[in-house]
Amino acid sequence: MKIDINNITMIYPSGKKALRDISVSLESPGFIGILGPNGAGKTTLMKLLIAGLIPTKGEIALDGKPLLSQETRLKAQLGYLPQSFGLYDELTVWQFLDYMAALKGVKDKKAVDDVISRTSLTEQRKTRIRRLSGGQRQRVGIAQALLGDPQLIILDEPTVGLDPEERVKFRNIFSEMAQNKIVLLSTHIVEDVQAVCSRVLVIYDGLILYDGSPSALISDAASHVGTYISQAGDSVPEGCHVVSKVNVSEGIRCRIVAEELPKIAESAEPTLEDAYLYCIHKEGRQ
Amino acid sequence: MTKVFGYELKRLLTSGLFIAMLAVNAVFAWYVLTTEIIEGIAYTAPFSVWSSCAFIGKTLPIAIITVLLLQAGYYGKQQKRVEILTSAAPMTYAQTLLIRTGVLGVCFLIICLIDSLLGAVFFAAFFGYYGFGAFIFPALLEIIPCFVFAVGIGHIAGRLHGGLIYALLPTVFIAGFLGVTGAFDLFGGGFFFSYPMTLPVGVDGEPEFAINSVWLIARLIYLAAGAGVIFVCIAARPKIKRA
Repeated sequence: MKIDINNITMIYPSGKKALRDISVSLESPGFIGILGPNGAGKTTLMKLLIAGLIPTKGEIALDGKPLLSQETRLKAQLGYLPQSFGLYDELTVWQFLDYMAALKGVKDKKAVDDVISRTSLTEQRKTRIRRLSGGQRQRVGIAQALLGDPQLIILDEPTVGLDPEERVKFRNIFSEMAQNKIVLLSTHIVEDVQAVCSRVLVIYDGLILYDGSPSALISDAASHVGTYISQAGDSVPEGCHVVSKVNVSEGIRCRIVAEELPKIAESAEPTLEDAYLYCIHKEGRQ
Repeated sequence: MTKVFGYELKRLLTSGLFIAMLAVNAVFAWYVLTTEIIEGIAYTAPFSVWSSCAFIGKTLPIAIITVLLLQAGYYGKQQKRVEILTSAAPMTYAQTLLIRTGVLGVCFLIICLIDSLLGAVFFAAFFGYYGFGAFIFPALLEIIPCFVFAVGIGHIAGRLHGGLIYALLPTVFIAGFLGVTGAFDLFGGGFFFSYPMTLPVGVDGEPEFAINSVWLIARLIYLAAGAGVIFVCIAARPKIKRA
């Protein structure tokens, strides 16, 4: 499967420009992480990819053919978990997933039990959805996205509401699935992207600022990440952006990213989070 | 599609709204039977086809209100949130709408059957009358066009705005209970009360049941209009949001 996004611009009726002339190509196998602040255009991009929106300009092609003409084929191979969704509260977990399997045309009778098992919902399989916790509902959402072994999996903040152990478990499941599929993961949790994604897209203000491997993004930030000790009330040096602050015995250890590190800062090994923040802050973007 | 239909049906049949409205329908049907039909309609016997049609006409508005309330759920906020997931499945909008229309049809049929069962019990218990076969055809002529028309209008209203279906409810109430008596009376509640009195009385002391041609044309118009609206809804899939 190959998806080509060609010069897409998306302007909402309100006038908000969500995406600005972006082009990117997605090919299986691939686990692609999308990073960006709120309102950057991540969800819009995902909605465009599931034919839920029509772009203002540009075209998306699925295996060389316009996506909108391939909508049924796309949806037959799609596993989609949106950021926010509803479930039929009156059905049990098994019934809802069986219903979703029927909607997706999944014929394998074991498919429902399989995703229930993979998402650790076996104990809740006969529980009505209204009785599930937030994390369990999220797992039902993930389970329906995995139904039928889809070739394209689009996950928008899939690990919201999950505890750390579950988060790690699910990102490993997604990683396994990406061996022969396209998995697109939008998240605020940079650690998840660092752990499993082979490619990262950094989106900011409707533009793709970076498209490449996480390691190359980290390399870009080398010598732009540093730490220094400050005291309460000290202002942040000009041109620096604070990544984190930790109270230590000498004061507050500030971790910063900057185009040029101030003399008081010691250079530090960048993480993907540093690199991501450097990417969106450099050239005075924010 | 059969499995999806089964789940959609299960969801509605087990909903508190349906169960409550089924009880309301049954209580109202019994009330109509024991207060109006028991006296016979337009000087005909309580178990005449005229009285039977009038009974159905009286109970139809509540049945249609029930259907519209259930239909409103398909255009409500909770459904829209679930549709974020279901719309990513390959089932077409036309299939979805047909399934929903079918499910509403089954719910409506169940209500009509419960009302009819009460009517049968009433006629048998109060009058020892068992000749219900004669009631079936006129009843179908009454209920099918009414259902198709109401659901068609409901789909259009829901497509325009989920809340618009609720705005239809007072219209149904007014049309059903407040003095519509002509052949274009959608439910027949008024028509069957007045029309027999315009007919000559037969040898058994009451007018022979005959389907009025204008009333029949009105049913055909309602049926065609409702089916046409449903077809338009199916054909005109909601547009993918375009900026």
